[in-house]
Amino acid sequence: MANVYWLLLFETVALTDLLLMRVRRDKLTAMVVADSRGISAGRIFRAAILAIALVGGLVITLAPEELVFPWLLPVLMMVPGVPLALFFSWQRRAVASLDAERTPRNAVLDLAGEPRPYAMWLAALPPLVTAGLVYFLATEWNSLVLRDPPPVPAPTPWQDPGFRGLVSLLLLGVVWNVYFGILSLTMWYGVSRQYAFRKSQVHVAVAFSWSETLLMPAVFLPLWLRVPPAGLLLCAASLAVSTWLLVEFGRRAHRDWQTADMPPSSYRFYFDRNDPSAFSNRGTNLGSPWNWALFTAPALFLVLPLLSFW
Amino acid sequence: MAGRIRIDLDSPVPATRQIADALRVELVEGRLKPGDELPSVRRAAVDLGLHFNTVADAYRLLAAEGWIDLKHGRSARVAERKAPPASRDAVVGYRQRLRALVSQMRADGISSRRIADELEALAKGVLS
Repeated sequence: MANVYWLLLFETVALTDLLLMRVRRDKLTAMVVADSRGISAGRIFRAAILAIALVGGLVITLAPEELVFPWLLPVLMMVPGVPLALFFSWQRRAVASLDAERTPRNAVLDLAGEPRPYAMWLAALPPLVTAGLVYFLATEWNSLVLRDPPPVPAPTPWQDPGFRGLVSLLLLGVVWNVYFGILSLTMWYGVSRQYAFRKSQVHVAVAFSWSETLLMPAVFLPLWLRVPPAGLLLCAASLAVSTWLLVEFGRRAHRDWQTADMPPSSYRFYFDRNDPSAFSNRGTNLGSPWNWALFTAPALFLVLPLLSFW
Repeated sequence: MAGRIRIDLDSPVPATRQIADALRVELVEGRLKPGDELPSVRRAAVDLGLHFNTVADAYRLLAAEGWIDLKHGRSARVAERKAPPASRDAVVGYRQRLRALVSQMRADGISSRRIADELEALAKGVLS
């Protein structure tokens, strides 16, 4: 089971390198990067990373776990660095000067105030709901009917592998809660008000957070526990609400995303510490602390395997 | 009702100056009234894509002129302000700036009559 985590970790690190091809040169970027799309160096780099991701993934999957960590994985993690270093050395040669391309730079400031949406407060609740559920399970674990009870009951639920497995899965939802919470804050405070889509992005982040919170127990509690019919009905209702939130708010966000006021180059990345925007018409600003929080939140997934050692 | 200001980030005029000038226009022409709240420095910086300090400097400039109240921990508000009596030096300074501007307008082909009309309308605050 641990191999899956190592596999995910390796693939994430390896494939994230592909995003670096999207980084554009910027007057404040320490590492000046040329546009690498559609050129042979970019294609070679992409092919090399994909090959490393494929072969490395196979090696991690097939190798015995005691060999993967702590021996094989650190070595494999360093392998994508080789094409990366070659690619950047090519980039440095390819960039003729530090003159960044000029983008139209008109900015508008609306002097009217804007109230914070109440929906944002709802983003704080899902982790508390999950924490409450975990607390309930911890206190009532011995009185609940398990589908696969241990041969010898553990003195405390936290020493029961079944309980820890269930809690690990519920905590996966909390990581998503954190991510969506940060996303809603980023969209509200880190994006210019001239983009009307930011409100629907806040709503979709909150809705997805709640969807995760309802989905995880609805799916996993019946797998771990013998749930009475009323509980099963509750799980089914929870699943239905979760799906509705996902579909309805996803549809609304998609509709607003299609409108003309989205940043035209949101798929591009730049680094500008002087620009406090997380997303703007220049692209996604990797110099914004909002994005640092947003992009590092999924790293919490890597903490979850520690729970099994806890 | 407060409107919106637009600044040109490619202009040779510093962004701080552009923000302060644009806000001063709103204040002088009465679209921003005493007690009105201005966007926070952080909000304005994100909207304009500028560093916080650039916006904060513009706000400080207006605060020094007595247009806005800056208190730590709360938004900037438009203050009650009485225009001070114009000094002779100030009038001479503005005359020099106007002369340079009018010369540029004439060089761009705008007639003297039109320039006079525009200036008169601006002075009376009837242009928006």
